[in-house]
Amino acid sequence: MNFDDLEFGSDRPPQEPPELPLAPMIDIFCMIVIFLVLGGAFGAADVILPKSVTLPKSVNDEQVIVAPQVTLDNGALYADFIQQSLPIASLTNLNSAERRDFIRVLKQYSQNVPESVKTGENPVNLVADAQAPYEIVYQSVALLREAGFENTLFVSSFE
Amino acid sequence: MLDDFEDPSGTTNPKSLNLMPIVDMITTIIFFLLLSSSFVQFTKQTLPPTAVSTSSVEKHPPALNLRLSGELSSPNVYKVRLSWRGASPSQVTKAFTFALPLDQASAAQLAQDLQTTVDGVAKTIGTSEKTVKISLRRNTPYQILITTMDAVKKSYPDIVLNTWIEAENEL
Repeated sequence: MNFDDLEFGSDRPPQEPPELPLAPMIDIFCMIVIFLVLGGAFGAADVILPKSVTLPKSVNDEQVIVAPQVTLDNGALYADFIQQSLPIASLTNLNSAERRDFIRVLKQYSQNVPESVKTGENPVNLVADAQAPYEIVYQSVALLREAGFENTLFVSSFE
Repeated sequence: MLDDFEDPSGTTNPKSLNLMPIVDMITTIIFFLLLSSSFVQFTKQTLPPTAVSTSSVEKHPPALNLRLSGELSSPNVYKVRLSWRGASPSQVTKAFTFALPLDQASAAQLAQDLQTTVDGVAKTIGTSEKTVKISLRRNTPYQILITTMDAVKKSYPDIVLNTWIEAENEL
């Protein structure tokens, strides 16, 4: 378009004001929206981190997934989704009645997770302090497997 | 918009097709198809076989059964023993010294050192079996377990935790 076209008082017929081409812009926006919808990760999981727990460091940058959380803290294994905890002494004693009851309640929960919200093989997020001994971590994983949580995810921090 | 193409003399240029939106739409469709489709390669197998062959190898080698046992032999020394069976059973024992406190940088360095050793073993025995069994001494900190898992995950992604008793027997 020539600027001469916009001059007033010329002999030429009046021209329409310049239009902004909206079609390509809308197309590009649509493309970006589709890209973001397909490529984005929604529903990032929240992890409740007690103040006394320092997560172990990891070079692995995989994101935490949405799953029930169990926390090893204050000398007990606490499952927030059933609002119950098991003292470490009972956790390591395989014959304790308290341990059996805890597993029973956990199993009840894991078996009743609706299919619509189930992700994979019944995962569970394990939050524990970096200094927690291997024995306790192992016993926690063994207990969770016994209760029907087949996939334990170790929550760590990536800086 | 086509008026823009009129020249002052009053004669009109031949009307041209506005290609820009069409090109944009085609680009969008290409992106959509690329993101939404999956590519599958099919293979063909002819049945029945034309001949029956017999294998001269009667026995398969035993399973690899790769195991990693670890302990903190001193506050900043992580001693690791990798053992395996398979066709040629063997083992590797190595001690890794790391800086204290075991922070992000120190843990990353330890993971890298351990990964170099694990990759060396993987080159020797192969990675056809993806499982490694990890066993640490009962008082080993959780941080060491996470660092060990970081190190072995690349070559052996299927990690199985064994009891501390195995580590105590092997180390």
